[in-house]
Parts: sequence; C-alpha cells; structure tokens
Amino acid sequence: MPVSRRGLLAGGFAAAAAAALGRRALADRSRKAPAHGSSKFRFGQLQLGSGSSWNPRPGALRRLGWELEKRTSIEVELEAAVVTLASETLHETPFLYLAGEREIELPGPTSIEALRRFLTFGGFLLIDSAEGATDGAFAASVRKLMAAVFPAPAKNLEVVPKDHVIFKSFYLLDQPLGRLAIAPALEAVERDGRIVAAYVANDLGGAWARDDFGNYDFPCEPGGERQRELSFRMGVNVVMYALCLDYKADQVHVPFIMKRRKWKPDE
Amino acid sequence: MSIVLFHTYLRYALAGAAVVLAILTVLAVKRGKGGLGAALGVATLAAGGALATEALVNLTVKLAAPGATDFNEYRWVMLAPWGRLGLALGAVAVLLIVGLSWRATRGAPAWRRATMIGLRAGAAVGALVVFLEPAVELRQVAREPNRIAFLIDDSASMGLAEDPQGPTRFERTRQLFRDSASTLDVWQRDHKTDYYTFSETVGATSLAGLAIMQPLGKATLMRKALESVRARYEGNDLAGIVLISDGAATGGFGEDASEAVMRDFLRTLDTRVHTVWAARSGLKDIAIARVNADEFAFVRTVVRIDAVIRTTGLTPQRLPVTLSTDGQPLRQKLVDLPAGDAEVTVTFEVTPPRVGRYVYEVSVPVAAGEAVTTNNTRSFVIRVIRDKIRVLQVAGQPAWDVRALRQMLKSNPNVDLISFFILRTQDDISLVPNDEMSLIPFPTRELFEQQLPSFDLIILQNFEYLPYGIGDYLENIRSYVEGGGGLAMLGGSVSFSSGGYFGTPVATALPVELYGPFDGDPVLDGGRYSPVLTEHGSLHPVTSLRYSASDNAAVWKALPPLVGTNLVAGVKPDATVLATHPRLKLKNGKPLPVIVAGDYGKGRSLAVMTDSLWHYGFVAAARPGDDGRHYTKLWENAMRWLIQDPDLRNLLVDSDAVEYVPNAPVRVTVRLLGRDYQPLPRGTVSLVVKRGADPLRAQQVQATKLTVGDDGTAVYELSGEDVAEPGVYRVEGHATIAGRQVDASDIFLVREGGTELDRPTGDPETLAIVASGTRGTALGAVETLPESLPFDAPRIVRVDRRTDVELWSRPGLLLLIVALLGLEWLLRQRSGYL
Repeated sequence: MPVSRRGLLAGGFAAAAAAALGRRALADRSRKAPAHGSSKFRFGQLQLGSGSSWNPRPGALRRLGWELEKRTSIEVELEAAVVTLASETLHETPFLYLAGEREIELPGPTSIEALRRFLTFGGFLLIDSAEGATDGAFAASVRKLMAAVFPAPAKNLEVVPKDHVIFKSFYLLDQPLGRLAIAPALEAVERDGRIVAAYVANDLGGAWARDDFGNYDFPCEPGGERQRELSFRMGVNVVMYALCLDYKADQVHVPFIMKRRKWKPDE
Repeated sequence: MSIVLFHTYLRYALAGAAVVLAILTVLAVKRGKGGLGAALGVATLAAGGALATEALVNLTVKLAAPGATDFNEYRWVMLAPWGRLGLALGAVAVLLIVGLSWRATRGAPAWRRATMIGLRAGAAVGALVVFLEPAVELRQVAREPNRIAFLIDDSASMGLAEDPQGPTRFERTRQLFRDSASTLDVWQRDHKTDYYTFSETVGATSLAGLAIMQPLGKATLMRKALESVRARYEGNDLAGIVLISDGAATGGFGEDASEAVMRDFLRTLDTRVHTVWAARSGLKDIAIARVNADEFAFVRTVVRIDAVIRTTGLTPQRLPVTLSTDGQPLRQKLVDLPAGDAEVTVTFEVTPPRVGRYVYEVSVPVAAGEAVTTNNTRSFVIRVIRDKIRVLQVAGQPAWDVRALRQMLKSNPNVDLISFFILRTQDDISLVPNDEMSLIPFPTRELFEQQLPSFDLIILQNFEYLPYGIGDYLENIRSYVEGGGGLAMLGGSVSFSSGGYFGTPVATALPVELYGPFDGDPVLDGGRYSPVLTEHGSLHPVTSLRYSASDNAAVWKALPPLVGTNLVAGVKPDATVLATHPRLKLKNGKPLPVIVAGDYGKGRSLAVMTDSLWHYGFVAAARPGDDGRHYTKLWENAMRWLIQDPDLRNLLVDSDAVEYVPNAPVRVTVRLLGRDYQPLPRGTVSLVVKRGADPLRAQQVQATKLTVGDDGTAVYELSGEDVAEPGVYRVEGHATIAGRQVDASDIFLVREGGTELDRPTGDPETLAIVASGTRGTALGAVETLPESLPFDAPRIVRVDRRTDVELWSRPGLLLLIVALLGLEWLLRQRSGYL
C-alpha cells in the first residue's frame, strides 16, 4: 500500500509522541506506585523519656515531610516512624528527630551504645528544643546525652560555622531559624568530617506544626511568616544534608575538577 | 761484543775534556797557579783514566770470552757479597785516599802532584775492583716478535657512504690496507700482525677475510672490543692496537659516556691504541635520536613525550614530526631544524584512554640524500596503569541508597568520584528565587558527551532520563559501554522500566529485559525479602563476599532483608543472574532476578533491581559485631568487575615482556576463566599473532590453538623466527565461553637492541680520546698507515748461551795495581815525599 510522505511523517510523529507519552506514563505510574520500599525518606521520631514530652509538636514532621515532597525530588513517607533506641527497626530510619521541652532522663548504657552505633555508622540525629530557652533543662539534658554518647575527649556540641555545607545543601541560609530566633547558631557533633547530630534551640517543630484545619499552631517571632519560611528551608537543608552529605561542597567544582585533571582522553 | 761504559757522545766528551783540561793545566802552571794546575791535572787524568778503563775492560772481556760464540748482550754482576753498602764504603775509601794524597803532596810541582794523586787513585780503584769482585755476564739471546692487533669496526654504520657516489667507510678501510702494504711489511720485521673485527662481538679475521666481509653489525661496542682484544694478549707481548672505526660507538662508550669514564677505562688497557678514522664529514641524516617518556603512565592522565630530533649535514628546513599509535597519527608538530649538526626537542602530550600497553611511534619524513632512513622513526612502549577508578554517580533523587554509595565511594582512596544528584524535579514547587538556592543546572552535555569517556564506571541510580533532556545522550552511554566502559543501574521508583528506559540504547547495554510503556505489567514491588544467590552468584566475583562458597552463602543468609524490587521482563541470554527474589517470578516461571551481570561489547554492565542495598551497610550495622562491611565489599567487588580488573577477565593474554630484540623467544601466557570466573579446565583458545602497528593492516605471522590446563592457563612460546622482523606485534586470543565469544589481546615491540644507526655520523673525537688515553696516535682520516707509528718493543727474550767474565781475578789487574803503586812510590821518592 503506497504511503504518502505526509502520511509517513504524521505516522512517525504519532509514534514518537506515543512512545514519549508511554514513557511519561510509565514514569508517572511508578511515582504513584504504593510505597516502593526504601527509596522513600521517612523520619524516625525518637521516643526518649516518659509521657508525651517526646512529641511536643505533633504534626511538625508530617508538615516538613509534605514540604520536602513538594519542594525537592525527595520522595517522603509522611508518617514518621516512632522509634526508641531499643527498637529493632532503629536503623531503618537513619534520620532521627528528637524534640523536647523539659528535662529528659538519660537512657541506660545499652541505649546509649545503640545511639552511638547509630550515629557512628551513618545515622543522623536532629535535636529540636521546644522549651523556648537556650539554657533550659532540655538543653542541659541534650548536652549530657551527647557527652554520654561521645565521651570526652571526643568533641561535644559545637557551633557550626556559617559556611558549612548544611547551610547550602539546598537553600542558601545563614542561621537556623524556627518558631523563635533566640539562638543565632546551629550546634552539632561532628565525627569524621560529618555532622552526626545537630541541635537547634529555636523550636523548628513549632514553626512547622499545623493543625488539622491547616492553621499553623504557633506564630513565629519575631520574623512572622518569613521566619516560618526560613524555618522550613532549614528543615529541608538538614534533611538534604543527611541524604547527600557534602555533595554540595564538591558538586559546584565539577567543571573545575574535570578541567584541572585534563581527564579528556585521546579518542 | 764490546762492553760500553760510556755512551758514544760521553766518550767523545771525555776525550775532549781531557785535552782541554791538559791545556788548562799547562796554562795554570805557566801562570804560577800550582794548586789549580794540580787540580786540573787530576781532572785530566780522571777523564783519560775513565776512557782507559773502558778500553781495559773490553780488552779483558775479549781475551777472556770464547771467540767463537756470538754474544749479543751483556750485563754487569757483582760477585762479592757486600752489596750496595760495600760499593758505597769502597767509593768513600777511594775518595779518602785521593783526599789524603792531595794533602800529602802539597808543595809538589803541579804535574807531578797530579800524577802522584792519579796513580794512587788508580791503584785505589784497582783495589776497589778486587774488593767488589765485578764480572760481566755475556749472553747470546734471541727476541720473539710481539703482536700488533688491528681492530676493525664492522658495524652497520661502516657500510654508510658520506657521498652516495663515494666509497663506504668499510671500503675505505679495505683501501687503507691495500695502500699500506709496504708499511705492514716494515712492521712485520719486528712484529706479527693480527686482525680482528668488532661490532656486538669480536672476531678474528685476516686481510683476505676483510676483502669479502660486509659490515652488518648491530652495535659498535668499542669498549667491549678493546677490553676483549687486550684480554687475548694477557701474558703475551702486545706491541699495540690499531683501531679503525667511524667512531660512532654504542654501549656506554663514545657519546654515551663521559670523557673521564672513558679515560679511566683506557688507562687499564696498558697498551698503545693508535686510531684511524674511517668516516668523513658530510653525511646527511635526520634521526629521532632519543625519546624520553616514562615507561608507565596513568590512564586518562596527560603523558609527556620528549622526542629529540638530530639533524646532520642538512640545510635549514621545517619538518613535520608525527606521533602515532596503532598506525594512526595522534599529534603532529612542525619543527624548524637549523643547518649543520643540531638537536631539537619536540614535546608531545597525549592522554591514554584505557589501561593497557601502548606502542607509540615518533617519525620524521626522509630527506633527500639521507644516509640512513631507519632512524627516522622510533617506537616505544608505554604501560598505562590505573591510578584511581573514576566514577560518575548520577542519582535521580536523594535517598539513603544514594547517600550510602556516595559515602562509600568518597571514603575509598582509589576512587575519584563525580556525583550528580537531582535535588529538584520539574514537578516540584518553587516559590523561591534561584539566588536563594544552591542549585545548579544539570551539566548534561559536559557529563554525557564531553567527559563520558573519561570515566571508568557510570552508575545510574534511580535516575529517569526523560525530564532532563538527555535522551540524545543515551546512545553515548551505550557506545561507552560497548567500547569498554562499565555501567551499573540501580533500582528505585524511577529506574529500569519505570525510568522509561525500555527501547533506549541504554536498555541495549543492560543485562536485563525491561517492560515497555504499554505492557501494563507492574514495574515495582514494595515487599521485603532476602535475595537468594544463584549457583553462578555463589562464586561470581561480584557477589563473593567470602572466599569459600559455603562461607559466602552463610554471609548472604545473615544479611538484613532488602525492601523493594524493580520488576523486569527477563534476562538477556548471555547475562549472568547472581541473585534472585525468593518469591517473585518472571513470566517464564524463573525467579525474578535482583542482581544481574552482563557483558556488552567490550564493556560490562550490572543491574541491581533494588534501591535498598544500603541495608547491607547501615541496617546491618545495627547488630553488634557488624560494621556494615559487606556493603562496602559488595561494591568493591562490583567496581573491580565492572572496570575489568585484569584478574577478573574471562580471557587474558599476556606476553612476558613489552620489548624484545629480534629472534628472541616470546612467551605468551593465556588464562581462561569460565562464566563464574573460575578456571575453565581444558578450554580452547585460538591465538593469532600479527605484525604491524595498524591493527587493520597487520600481517599474520603465526596462528595456533591452545588447550589450557586444569588451572585454566597455558603458555605458548613464539620461536625466534616468528619475531625476527622488528615491529609492533599483537597477540589476539579468542575463546567461546558458554556460547559467548570472548576476546583478549596484548601488544609487544620487537626492536633492535642497539642504537647502531641512530647516530650514524662519524665521531673522530672518540677516537682521539682513545688514542690520547693510551699513549697512542690519533691518525685521523689518513689514506695510508705511517711506518713511523711507535709500538712497544718485543719483551720476550730467549737466552741460548751465557758466560761470566770476572774482572777482579785477572792477574793483569794485580800487576796494574802494583805498577801504579810502584810508579807513585818512585815519584814520591824523587820528589822528596816519603
């Protein structure tokens, strides 16, 4: 059967479009696939201490997860996994979130060892103070906890310089703002050049938490909504840092690295 | 046979002195200077006495020696046992006697005083002779003629002619001997002549042999030749060596060695070496004199190659210098060569693309009238090794699997890592100005076009290509793998089928079959499972976490479960499934593969259908005693296999050296591994040996079939005849493993060991140094050998007859002493001295 050139072209375009759409459809199908294992990022909310003091800002992580999903390419399981240091599944959520607003009891040696293993072999702990003070009981508990996990002469919490990669892992930031802005700096414990635990006294969860009607639980002071936005950005950056480490530190240098090394071989 | 006490000139001098002293004595006496006259008179008598003594000795010897025998040599011997001390004491005694006599004769007339002193001194000398008992040993001796060794250069450079119409250097040497026939006749009266040729070795010859000989030697080992010839005459009498050469020495002499080193060596020869320069000026040549390049280089790292171009006797000109490999030009540079003799260095920079051996060649075109054309090219081998494994990690989204891989690769000092992660997709909301974010554009062209060949391994980790417009570059990735690169695709929600790779060039290179967009089959499964090692997987280098299969199985069993699987439609026919899903099946009923390895073209690809391998690291590390090392081990294995570490190639062909001299045997080792990388006993390998830089135009020189042993190896030895011709040789091996053809090759260079024609210009300086360092004469460019050339006299003596003539025991001596003393006494009496 004779085929005209127009017909052939039209057929070709149709086939190409179908193929592209097909691939797109397949990609979309995969994105919408139910819980594909471990590629999804999931917070582990560390339950430490008694009562409900381990979760002073319910809904904060879910909201940050939602923001992560919308703003970045990270696929997020919105429901955080509540874990204890004795949980068998502790290592399945390498990002732990520890929040509190009052003194927490120092866990036993087995738990301390578990946390040490978790942090040493690649885990990340974000500690968020909701007590609204830089020298409160929770802050003191956190310092005691970190000293127990990494006893001296190992370094304890130290101020993270503003040029650290955690401040440019996605957004360009210079301080860890939360519901409050009482602490100008992020404090962290570093092991082998990697932040394993970060401590923020500005109540990040207070800025992220939202009720079921879509209203934020707390106003941000003194910066208002701009401060809340910067708080979300800090949360994104911390998660991005946990997942990519110092990627942003070398990634911008790629062209220079390649040129300097004269990598291009002879054909 | 006359005994010579004084040289002829001295004898004349003594006679003259006696006459002059006598006249002076007369004058002094006439002027009334008695003391002076007496002294002059004593001197006159001493001179005359010396001459008389010589005559008396000769008379004595003549009377004592048998007249029939023709003695031709004599020597003095002292029979008294006093030695030198006795001689010294005797001389002192004589002087004392003369002194006392001088004192005792004071006041006597000058002549008389002189005569008395003279007579007493004569008597004293006579007594001294008796005391010392001297004798003359007369000998009849014969001398053996010693040897002159002619050392003639017969290296290939002696076959060159400075003028294409003129004689060669060797022909000039032959003519020299013809024209020096009379000189040789003269030398042969006292010497015998031996003839040797030298190049790599020294050989004895004759003038007749020289006439038919051709100079073909592949080196001019002048030092070795001198040493060798000198050693032949150790203990024999060598008159000297005549060295005839163009002076273009090789092997650590001449230009290759410092003058001080040469002179140190020449001193040890302990004989004269006269030199004749057989070359002439005016030779035209361009040569690649030297190439300075490291023997080893790192892959994809710039290698500097310095080629020294030497020009001789040519007009100024501009020439292209070409660097090529595999018969294909790589670089070309134009070089301005000055007139006369000069060296110009040309520097090339190349970047070897792959690990292996490379034969490079530097060449210059042949100029008109050039004497030697073989030195216009020079080949050399560079062994290219890997310094670091260059890995490109492209991840579609940040995730723990991405983090774990990056952390592992970054901490490995043998890895140079370029990571690129997609942090935000087009679907993500962005209400933030770009200058408040740290994101940069995806450098797709740079990564997937310009720099792609620079990587050893590309890892696509849960990466969908469609949103980033890199569909056009997928073909580059495929051809990169086909050309020898390594590719790993790791699972995730946007990888394999769900990454839209079905029907793309990348899918062609993968070892698994993907689902198409309209197949309607599920492409992901989120279940938790522990993969099961296949039979191949239990031994395969990628999944061997422990050495023994049983230990390995136990390790895999103890690993924490994985979560999530990318479902694939099948496995490519020649791919190797290493691990499978315990429950899920393919449509054909076989277990769903989880880890699959495959070859594609010259490269390799690995498919890991999950994004939870990080569980083998961090999740496993939750258990005391486990530090997550199995994750690291698995990836180290995978990298080694993907980049085709030589130990992990199915077929390996390896020659025992990179460079050989012609006719030297070449041993080629062949190793054959099966699909599971275990030795393949009694497997067959076809081996083809070809000669030629350009693989497409190389000529086959040998072909054979080898059967490997139980250890999977076999050795094949190429005979000297196979590799007689200089050039680039390739050994290509072919075998079939489980229906799949595998190939391997190696390359080596056959090259003249020496550098004989690399520097063909004659070098009179070297010959001048040889001559001056051995007390010889540098004759330069002579047409005949001069008769006057000095040689050491023969030292070997044969004594046929000998006799001693004792001077002291002659009765005449006693009479003489008595007569002298009597005369002296008489004179004293008459003079009134008692």
